Amino acid sequence: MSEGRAPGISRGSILGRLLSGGLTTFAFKRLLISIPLVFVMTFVMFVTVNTQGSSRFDTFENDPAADPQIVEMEKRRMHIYDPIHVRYFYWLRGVMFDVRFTADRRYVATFEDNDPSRGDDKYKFGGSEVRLAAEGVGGDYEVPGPAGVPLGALGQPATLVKLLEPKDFETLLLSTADASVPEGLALSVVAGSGSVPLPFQATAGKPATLAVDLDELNRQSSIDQIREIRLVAAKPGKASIRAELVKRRVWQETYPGRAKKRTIQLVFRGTPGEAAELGALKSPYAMKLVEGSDWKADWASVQEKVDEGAEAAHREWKAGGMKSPEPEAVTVDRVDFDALEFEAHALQGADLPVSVWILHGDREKPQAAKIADLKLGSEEKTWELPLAGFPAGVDLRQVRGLRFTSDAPGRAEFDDFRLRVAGNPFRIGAPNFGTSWDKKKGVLDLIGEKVKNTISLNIFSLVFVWLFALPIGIYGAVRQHSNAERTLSFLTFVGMSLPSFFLAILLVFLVSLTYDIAPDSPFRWMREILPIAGRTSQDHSAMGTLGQMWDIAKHTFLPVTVGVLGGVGGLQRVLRGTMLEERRKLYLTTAMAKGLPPVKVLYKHALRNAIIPFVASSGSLLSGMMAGSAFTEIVFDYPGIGRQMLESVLSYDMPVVMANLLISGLLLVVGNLLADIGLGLVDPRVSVEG
Amino acid sequence: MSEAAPRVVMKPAEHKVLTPRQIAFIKFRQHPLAVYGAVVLGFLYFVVVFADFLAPYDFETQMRTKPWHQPSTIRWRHADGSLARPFVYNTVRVRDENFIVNYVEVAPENMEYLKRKLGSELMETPREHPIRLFAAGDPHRLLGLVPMKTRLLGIEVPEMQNRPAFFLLGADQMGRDLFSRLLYGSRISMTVGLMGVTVTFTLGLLIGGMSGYFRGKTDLATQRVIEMIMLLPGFYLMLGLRAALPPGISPPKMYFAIVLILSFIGWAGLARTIRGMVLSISQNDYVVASKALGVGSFQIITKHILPQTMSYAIYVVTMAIPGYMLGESGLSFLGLGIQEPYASWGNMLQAARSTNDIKLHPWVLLPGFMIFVTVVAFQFLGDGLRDALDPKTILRAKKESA
Repeated sequence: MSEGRAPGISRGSILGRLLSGGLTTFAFKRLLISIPLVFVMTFVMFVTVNTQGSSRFDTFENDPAADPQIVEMEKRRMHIYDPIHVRYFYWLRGVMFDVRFTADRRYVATFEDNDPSRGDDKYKFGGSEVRLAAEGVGGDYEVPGPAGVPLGALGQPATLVKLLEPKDFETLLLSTADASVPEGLALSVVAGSGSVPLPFQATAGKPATLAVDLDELNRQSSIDQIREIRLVAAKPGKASIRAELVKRRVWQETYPGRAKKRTIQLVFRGTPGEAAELGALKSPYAMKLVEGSDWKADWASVQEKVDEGAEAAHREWKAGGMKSPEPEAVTVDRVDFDALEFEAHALQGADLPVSVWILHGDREKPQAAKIADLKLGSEEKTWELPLAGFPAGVDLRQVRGLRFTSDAPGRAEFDDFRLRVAGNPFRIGAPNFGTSWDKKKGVLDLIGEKVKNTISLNIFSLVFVWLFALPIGIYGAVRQHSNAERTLSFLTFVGMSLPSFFLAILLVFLVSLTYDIAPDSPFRWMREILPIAGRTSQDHSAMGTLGQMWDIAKHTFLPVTVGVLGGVGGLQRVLRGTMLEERRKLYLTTAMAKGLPPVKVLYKHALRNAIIPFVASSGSLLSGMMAGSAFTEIVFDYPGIGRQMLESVLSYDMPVVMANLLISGLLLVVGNLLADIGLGLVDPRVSVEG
Repeated sequence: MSEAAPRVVMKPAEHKVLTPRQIAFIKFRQHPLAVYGAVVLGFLYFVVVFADFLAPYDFETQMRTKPWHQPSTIRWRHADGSLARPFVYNTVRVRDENFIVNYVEVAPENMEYLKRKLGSELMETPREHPIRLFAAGDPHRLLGLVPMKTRLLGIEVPEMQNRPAFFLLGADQMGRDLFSRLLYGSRISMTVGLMGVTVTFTLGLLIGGMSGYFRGKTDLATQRVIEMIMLLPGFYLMLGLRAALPPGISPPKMYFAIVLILSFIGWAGLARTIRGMVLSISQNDYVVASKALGVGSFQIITKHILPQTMSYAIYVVTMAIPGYMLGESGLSFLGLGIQEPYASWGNMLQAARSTNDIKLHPWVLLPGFMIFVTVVAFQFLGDGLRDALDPKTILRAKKESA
């Protein structure tokens, strides 16, 4: 290769070596080998991972409440019945070009984007709350039958409910089932340390109810378990008390990911001939309400429960009846899209007549325009409504939602709303890594930002590892056996040997100690000096550019510290070892003998050679660092792909798992490639042999 | 220095030839940190074997009235100040002014405070519960064979609502003795490395050996497979493989699944190193000679080549064991490994994921320190073994002594 070097460029210059072709060929070769290997590896992983893909449905199959039709439909949508290699190619097609969702990030092309939780994990919708009478649930607690709880002698408590795990339940509802309340009945909860009295005001002969907020109770007693609920009465007697437990986030915990299922099922009620408008695809709230009904078949009974972030909006919605907070308008550009598509079929009643309306225009009073009349059969079918066929005057730039009406009773299901990209071959094909099973969202939309976060975290860590390892390693070699050297290498050794997740926990612990500093102490500036969770503060968007950068820097400090502490040890040992070895070599003696200043000998000769293994081991450092940063992300709640990987493994969201594997593999390939190029730059032998 | 050597006059008694193994042993003993590491590990593995006897309680035993109990105060003196055999007082849960939960000993000096706090709910009187050696405790099977109730330490437990307990290192959120769980947890955390390394070692040696010996297409194929495995970052590969396990898998199966997952990831690195060594060794004349004599390939690899790589492989293996431990504890820490109620150091650390819990109950960090100590011990041991097994280091050792 050396013959190919351009004349006039000196042998030693980096530019010359890059241009000479040796290094470039070398890098290119590496890439050529690595990329196919990544795909072979993803195939192996795809087969392995998807052997369990169907286990995701086991929970539904054993659940009498789950609609078998829906489960079946979901299975088909996820290509469960296809042979594995066909599924792999479906996946690969999704990786390369996916037409299902957005074609271009500029256009918000799906109606799903009404969801305020998009790209922001702050809003987690808990899904429908299901009220469970305690009898039906099973588990480690008991409720007396209608005979009532015998109340013991004065001061001797009777036990009502034993051993609750408040983390599974949200509210405890206590009510006297009949009017047989004995006098002076008092309830207390034994939880944590001692008992907490409950404000249960019962007077003889009058029914009473009490809803206990278990979270609040938990906060008071800082304990995970309620031991029992005690009843104490002034007189011995019997009390018939009914306990109901309201289970928390039942879909999320029992059926991972089910809470975010977006299939909309509408229940058409009413007599034939009577028009029934049943649901408008307007906002997540409306959607969710309807969503719940596919399990209960009775949406009036479904209780809405929205987590903190959406609570205020939710209250507003409740107050206004069906009026939901208006989402941002969906902007549709006719040029890029040519049809609205969705899948729909009737679950009850053949040939169910359904009219589709589009809501558009003003936020407060959107206009509804009928765009199609459909007859839904029981077979699942993709309906295609060309945008060109929409009535004139529909403002496609401000679509507020869809509305479905029917003249006949029945149940129907709608799914997969999307806008078809116009037939321009250059516009389709934005890589999207398939569709998340959980969130029905393009995987790239889901993790794109997180990939960037992970990359920036690792780059920062790597840079700081170098910045620290280089001087420490040199110092260690120059001042071998000095006390400072021993302390430094001991510290880096400790950092190297601590598991990264434990190191992260320790840092959290240290930071949490600063919370104890009294607000009037002279060290009060240390209080809550560092945030220990997330990447941005809650009021991040309100800050100026500098403020935002400072905010991110503060949040990234601890995760980077973990990476640096873990990485410096190994790297500085490598450098120190090779430096010591170089120093013994004769050419250094020669250099010293000919009178070169020691600094020059050290940095021009010894370091120049010792740096080679240092750079070479940076490549393998990256692999370890990515593993470490994944744990760090999880402990510090940093939105990166490590944390995403954990979440999707827990919910068996295979497309996201696969995308994470693929992306992390590609990151490693690129990282190793850069390390190789770096190695080629510092070590002339590599590029010549490349 | 080399000229100086012949001048040393050796007394006949000293002049005996040491086998390489003896030399290695002597060199190992000169490495104090490595010896400490070996001692610590020996102790830990002793604990692994006798965990159920050494632990005061079973790993599942819950003291339902004592979640998050602080380490018990062990007293040496009676209330009147005279010496006693070590004992503990029972404790009751009291909420202080800030609603923080405390456990207060039912000791004579605390009675006034307790009466004020609890009033009529206080039903206990001060009573000493001596800590006995070879006390009867939760039933277990010594070495998995001998059913017995005797445990090294224990206190007599009267039947009562608020059972007295002694927690050397505090209790976890379920009121289980942290010390006992640490000991039981060592069984999983300390053996996962050994199991994993056994699988890796066998695979790595065989595959690496074959790849280096046969070269050509075998080598090419093996190298590509190794590269494939090393292409994905370990954590992601580990979680990806974990996703292939069905939910609700039983704990023993999970243990072996983890071993397999970690070995699957780990063998590639060892195989690659072994391959490199075998490549150079198989050039040697004696290998060529064996070939010429018609010795079978398998025999050449296992009998003539692999033993040469052994000393390096032992070092690599020692350094690899912590990796498996960390893999297991990492998975368990994330809730994807060993499941409750079984204890492993990783899943015990799950309790430390809440900032509040670490702050109020810092003893939940102890499993992390155990992991740290073990990792360090293995690294010291590995360093010592490398120096001891490396034939070059003997020169350096003489130089320093001269």
